[in-house]
Amino acid sequence: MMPRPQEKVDFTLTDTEGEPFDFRARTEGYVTLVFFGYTYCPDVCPIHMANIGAVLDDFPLEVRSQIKVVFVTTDPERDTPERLRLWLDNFDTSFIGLHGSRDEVNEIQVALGLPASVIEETEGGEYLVGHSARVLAFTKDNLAHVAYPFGTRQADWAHDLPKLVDERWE
Amino acid sequence: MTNRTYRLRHSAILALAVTIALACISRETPERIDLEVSRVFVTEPVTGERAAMYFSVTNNGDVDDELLAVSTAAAEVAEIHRTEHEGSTMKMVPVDALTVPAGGRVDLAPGGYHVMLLELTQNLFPDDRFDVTLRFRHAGEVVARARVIRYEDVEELVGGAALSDPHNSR
Repeated sequence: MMPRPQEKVDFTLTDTEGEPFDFRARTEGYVTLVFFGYTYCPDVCPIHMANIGAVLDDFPLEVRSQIKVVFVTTDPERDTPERLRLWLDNFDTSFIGLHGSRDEVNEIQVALGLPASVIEETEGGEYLVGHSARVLAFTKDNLAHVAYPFGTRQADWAHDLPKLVDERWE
Repeated sequence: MTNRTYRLRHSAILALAVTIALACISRETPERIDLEVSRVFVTEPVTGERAAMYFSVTNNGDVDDELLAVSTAAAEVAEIHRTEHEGSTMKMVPVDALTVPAGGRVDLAPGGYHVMLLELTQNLFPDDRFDVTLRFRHAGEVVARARVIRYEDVEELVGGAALSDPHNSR
C-alpha cells in the first residue's frame, strides 16, 4: 500500500502503432498497471511483465478486459516502437508500449512519485538504465493505492488484481 | 660463496620448511576445495540477442573461493553483473569477481547477481540445454549444464532465493 494514494497524471506518448496515447483518457475506467523499464533489462522488467501476463491468462475475460498494462520505455534510443512491440508480445499482446523522449518520460516518472531513470555509460559503449522496480496499480478511481515491488509473485497478482477490479483493495 | 652465507641461506630454508610443517600440523586436515554448482538456468532471450544466466554455488570446502569468469559456446561474451538497489531504483553494475565463502552458498538470482550472456551464437528456446564453464580462483574450471526457461517460470525455480541479499550463509 502507498502511504498516500498517487493521482494519475496527464500525458500523451506514442504507442507501438505510432499513434498518440492519451494516458488519462485511454485508461479511464480500467485498472491500469504502469511500469517504467526497458527491453534490454536482464530480469526485473521481463519478470514483472511475464508474471502479470501469466496471471492474466488465467483470468476470465470479464476480469482480464478490465485491466490494462502500460509499459513506458526508459530507453527510447534503443527501444523503438517495433522492438517494444516484439518484446511485449512475448508476455501479452494486449500490453501497451509507450515511447517518448527521455526528458518527457523522466518528467512523468517524477510526477508519479517515481525516481527519474539514470543512464550510465559503460566501457564497451553500452549503457545501463537504472529505473524504478515498482509497478503502479491505478484503480478505477484514477488513484494508485498500491505499488508492487520487484519480487511480487504470480500468486500475489492473482490474489490482488481481481480485488482491484472490484475496488476491494483494502 | 663463503661458508657463512651458505649457512645463513641453509638455515633460512630450514626455517621456512619448519614454518610450512607447522602450518600443516596446525590444521586437522589439509585445505579442501569442494565447490558445487547447481540450479543453472538461463532466461529465454525474448528479443534474441542476449540472455541472463543464474545458478547457485555451494562451497563445501575450507577456503573462500571466487568466481572469476564464465564462458559458453552459446555466447561470445559473458559478464558477471550485480543489480544495485538505490531506494526503489535498480541498476546493473559489472563485477570482477564474486566471492563464495567457505561453508557458504551464493545464489545468483533476479534482483541480485546474474551473468549476462551477450552476442548469443545460437537461438535459445525454453528447455534448450547447453554447457557453461565457470572459472574459480581455487577450484579452477567447473562445467555445468544450463537450461533455458521462460520468464514466468523464474519465480518457481528461484523460490525464496535472493531477490534481495544473494549471500545466504548456511
